[in-house]
Amino acid sequence: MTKYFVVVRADRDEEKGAEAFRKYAILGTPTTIVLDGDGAEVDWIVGYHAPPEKFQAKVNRSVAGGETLKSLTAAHALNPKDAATAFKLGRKYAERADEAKALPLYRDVVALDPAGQAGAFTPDFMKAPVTFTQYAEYELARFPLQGRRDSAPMRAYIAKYPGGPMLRLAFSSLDIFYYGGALAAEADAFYADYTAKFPTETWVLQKWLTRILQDKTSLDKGLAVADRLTELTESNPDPYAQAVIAEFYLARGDKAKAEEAFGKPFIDSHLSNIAFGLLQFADFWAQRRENTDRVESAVAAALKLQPENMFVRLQAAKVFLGLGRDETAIDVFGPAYAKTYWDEPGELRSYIYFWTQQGRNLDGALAAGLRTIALRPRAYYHWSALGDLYLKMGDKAKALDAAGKAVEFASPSAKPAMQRNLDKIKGQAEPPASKK
Amino acid sequence: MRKSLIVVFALLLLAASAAGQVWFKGTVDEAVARAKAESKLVLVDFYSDG
Repeated sequence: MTKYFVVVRADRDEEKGAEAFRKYAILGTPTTIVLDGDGAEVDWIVGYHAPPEKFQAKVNRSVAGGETLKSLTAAHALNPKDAATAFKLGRKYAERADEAKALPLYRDVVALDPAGQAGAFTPDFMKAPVTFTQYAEYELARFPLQGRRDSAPMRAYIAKYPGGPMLRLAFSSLDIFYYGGALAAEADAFYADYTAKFPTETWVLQKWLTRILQDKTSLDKGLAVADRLTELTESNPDPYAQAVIAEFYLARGDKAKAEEAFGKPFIDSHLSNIAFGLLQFADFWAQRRENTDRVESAVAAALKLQPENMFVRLQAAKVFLGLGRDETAIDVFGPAYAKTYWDEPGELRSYIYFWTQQGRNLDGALAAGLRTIALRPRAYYHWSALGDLYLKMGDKAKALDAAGKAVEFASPSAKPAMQRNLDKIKGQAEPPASKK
Repeated sequence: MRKSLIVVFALLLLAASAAGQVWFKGTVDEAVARAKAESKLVLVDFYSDG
């Protein structure tokens, strides 16, 4: 490569490098510039987009297509009426934040090709293509937002392209304008439009509520926003959203609502989610007998977070069984632990089901099964669980007896299922010779 | 020549931070003077670790 290039690094933290940064007006790194032997800029690439192949493809496309700064400048000089060339050259300058050169070119694009027929492209940060003209108009509208000078061009852009591919970006750029500036009434109108257009974007509602909190002029209007945010985050609480909601209610002097949004229910649910996330991870790798150190750490953390949660213990036991550590599984979720639920038949039933499925700790499960019957002697589901357990233990006579009790006590709607279960056990109980 | 330059340019950027890269030791202006004398281009990596 040194056959074609002299390769030099300009380090901003060194004096000679800092001088080059100033000379070439470099605003951000990484930036790579190609110069000719007279020091004139041939091309540049701003930023780096991993993986390397993507960067390489970008470089290849850019250079192979002849779309360097130098070639675009020459093409534009030859044919200044070509909108596509003007646009590409404008973007080149925009990459370096050279608005003095980029904006006039974008204005030319809009004047030359108002219908947007000269071409389209898909920017890195978007999924859908946008015409050169629409992109140029967006950039022209974005420029006056800097320093919160004027939002009218971007609002006009949104009105012109209400279904355009850059709509989300246009609203997002206006958000910067309204979040900490503009009059309260104008900000309200903006956020009302924004949330109407993107009704499920919780972060927009968060911004709106934060803005209402900053204004403190009329907290009442924030109630509907807080309600909507609560509704959207109810099934999957988001700490940032909950914090804003709680702050809003505290500002209104409603501590109870703040606690409801971001108090004990939130932290319980959040800890539980974390614990189950850790266990999901642990179970995945335990089944493959890989990452065992991390599996152990994840289970230990889950148990520390939710030591009293029966289903955390159940999942932890499953992981240990997956690792072949039956004794640890029984330590975590065995007879000693079952005793803490000795008067709660519902919880005991989960315990019985689990060990019946695993085919281990069957004596412990039987003790719990008998306990459930003692507590609820006419509950068909406990008899059914006991029947399954006896079957697993190989005691078919007792399995039949328990399944029969399940049929006897079953509700009308459950009776057919209990009967089928009984018949199934009978079929298994009959000697093979008697089968037809 | 042009195709070669394209390929070399791409490879060079990929390898720019890799070990073994031969960096010109002087300033950017000195690199330009060297490039002119050798009929080459200059590739400047503007770098900052901050």
